[in-house]
Amino acid sequence: MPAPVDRLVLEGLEVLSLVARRIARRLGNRIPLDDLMALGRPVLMELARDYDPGRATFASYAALRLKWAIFDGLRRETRWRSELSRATALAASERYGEAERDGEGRVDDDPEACRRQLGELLAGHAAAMALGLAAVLVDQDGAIADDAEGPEERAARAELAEVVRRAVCALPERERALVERHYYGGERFDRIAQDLGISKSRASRLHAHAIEALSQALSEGEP
Amino acid sequence: MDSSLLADPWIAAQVDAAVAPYVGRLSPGDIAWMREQLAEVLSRDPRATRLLRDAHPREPDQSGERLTPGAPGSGATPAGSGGRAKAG
Repeated sequence: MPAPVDRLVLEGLEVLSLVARRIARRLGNRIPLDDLMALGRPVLMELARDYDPGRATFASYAALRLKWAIFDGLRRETRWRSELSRATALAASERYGEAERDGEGRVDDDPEACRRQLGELLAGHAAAMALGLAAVLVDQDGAIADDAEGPEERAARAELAEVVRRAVCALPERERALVERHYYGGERFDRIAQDLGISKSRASRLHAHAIEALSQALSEGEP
Repeated sequence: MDSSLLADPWIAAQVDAAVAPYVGRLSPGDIAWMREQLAEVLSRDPRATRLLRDAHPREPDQSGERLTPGAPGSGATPAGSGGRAKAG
């Protein structure tokens, strides 16, 4: 019978396969599954060693950590640059969704209130994706990346990137720092949280507030 | 990807409202991709599925029961959403 850590690593491999498949599917299967799994594999041993059974099942704990290991890995890689904007958009949506679930209050009995909350939740996810897409459209020199199909589309994307940038600049200081450093500076989310002296869950809440503010600003500037 | 949710006109309208600020600012391919991701959120995110279940207008079917998104015959199948609710 394998030792507990070895057993968890084996279980983690199964979880990794599921997580990688899901991310691959959501990115249109343009990144090979093996490559996504390779991004998660290095953290398996660490996961097995750090696991605290009192907090969550290993599968749910591993799924969360492996998902972020893959997203962080994708940002470091240069060979999938063409997929980076959607990967960043998906990661932004996932981070927003996690914070919304963690901070979830009572669900209202009133269907109208539920409709309003559902609309806000979907708008938040859409704004998170727009932020991810727009941030990656701008390269290191601030120029719009030249991967759009035509001049009109490039102009529209450039406008979106500009509107998103202005909305980011209008965020409260800590939220702005978090968004700028992560999406435009490419820094890891947990390292920014550490640098700001806040917990990762607090940083996730700040991120969610920033997304809600962006959602509001982007809706007001609807074309 | 559970795009079948988007076959429900009410759900499609909620998703379209969410992506509306980006239509014309992103490529049609990116907009279609965003719609699919929002359908995925609605089918897999526990908070979203609960809100969808409670927010979706329920219409009586021929048996007098009210259809809920995800129920057989509703044309949409969000994971974790409820089945049929008896009409009052």
